[in-house]
Amino acid sequence: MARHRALQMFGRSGNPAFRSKAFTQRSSDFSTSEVMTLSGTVNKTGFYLLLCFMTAAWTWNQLYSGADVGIYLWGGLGGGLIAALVTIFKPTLAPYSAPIYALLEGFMIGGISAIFESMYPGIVIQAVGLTFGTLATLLMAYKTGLIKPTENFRLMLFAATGGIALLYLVNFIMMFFGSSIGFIHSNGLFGILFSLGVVAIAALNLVLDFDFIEEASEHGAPKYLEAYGAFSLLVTLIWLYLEILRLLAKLQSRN
Amino acid sequence: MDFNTLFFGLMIIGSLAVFFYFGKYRASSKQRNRTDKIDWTVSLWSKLRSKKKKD
Repeated sequence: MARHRALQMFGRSGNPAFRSKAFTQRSSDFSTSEVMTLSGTVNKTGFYLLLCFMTAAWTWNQLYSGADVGIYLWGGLGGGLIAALVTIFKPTLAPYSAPIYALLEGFMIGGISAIFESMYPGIVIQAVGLTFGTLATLLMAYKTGLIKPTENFRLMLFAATGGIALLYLVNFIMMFFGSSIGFIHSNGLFGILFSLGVVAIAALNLVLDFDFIEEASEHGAPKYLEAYGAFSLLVTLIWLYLEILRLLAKLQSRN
Repeated sequence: MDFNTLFFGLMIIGSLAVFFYFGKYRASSKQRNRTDKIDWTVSLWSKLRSKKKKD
């Protein structure tokens, strides 16, 4: 385990980067059961998606039965953030913190989805379909070598993702003063183009996740990185889903 | 069941099937044997810092 501690990451979970020592540890350093595999990561992703779906369905039903879901929404958001930070800064805990993150985010997503569905019927299944459709398409594009993630690609995405995060943070702070950045929420042409851009950047973050998972499993990285890889994928998928939901809502509100 | 649910429902099932099936296979050699791959052993921060020092 001491060796595992050497593994450090930085930045948003969707863009994990490793410092030299642990990532270059070869499979010979671990027994076979301790080594990260592609199938293990895919299975864990499926498990986390299932956990997320279960709590999302529960909040959804609560909202439709007339209960107040505010506590699940904000609790899920706050708790999910804490679980995400724990996973990012202590990756060795990912096998425990990532499922907790999935469960808590499910509470939030279920509530948000139910609110959007009540405003625009049929929007949720469209957003889920487009999210998984994007996942499958980009996975195939990555596996076949159609999209080639390079250092410049990573740098560009890092800058773009950071820019969006900063913009959202400024908007969040402005909301406390009864104001906001208009075009983020607008359903005009600029608002829709902005949402399209954010969806594209969120989608391209999936390619970075695929590359990280592929490279880590090829290098025989430690087993707990399966959970970390699945967590990264889940974070990006949730972000992508929420952005697609917002884009569709903007488009439907124009009708 | 309306067309919207059917179409996007099938899209979800198909996409998940693709993910769970192809996700378990290695990427093509075209993807793996590149010279300009991302070096995940170096963090982006340290890369940016070393670049800044060079400048």
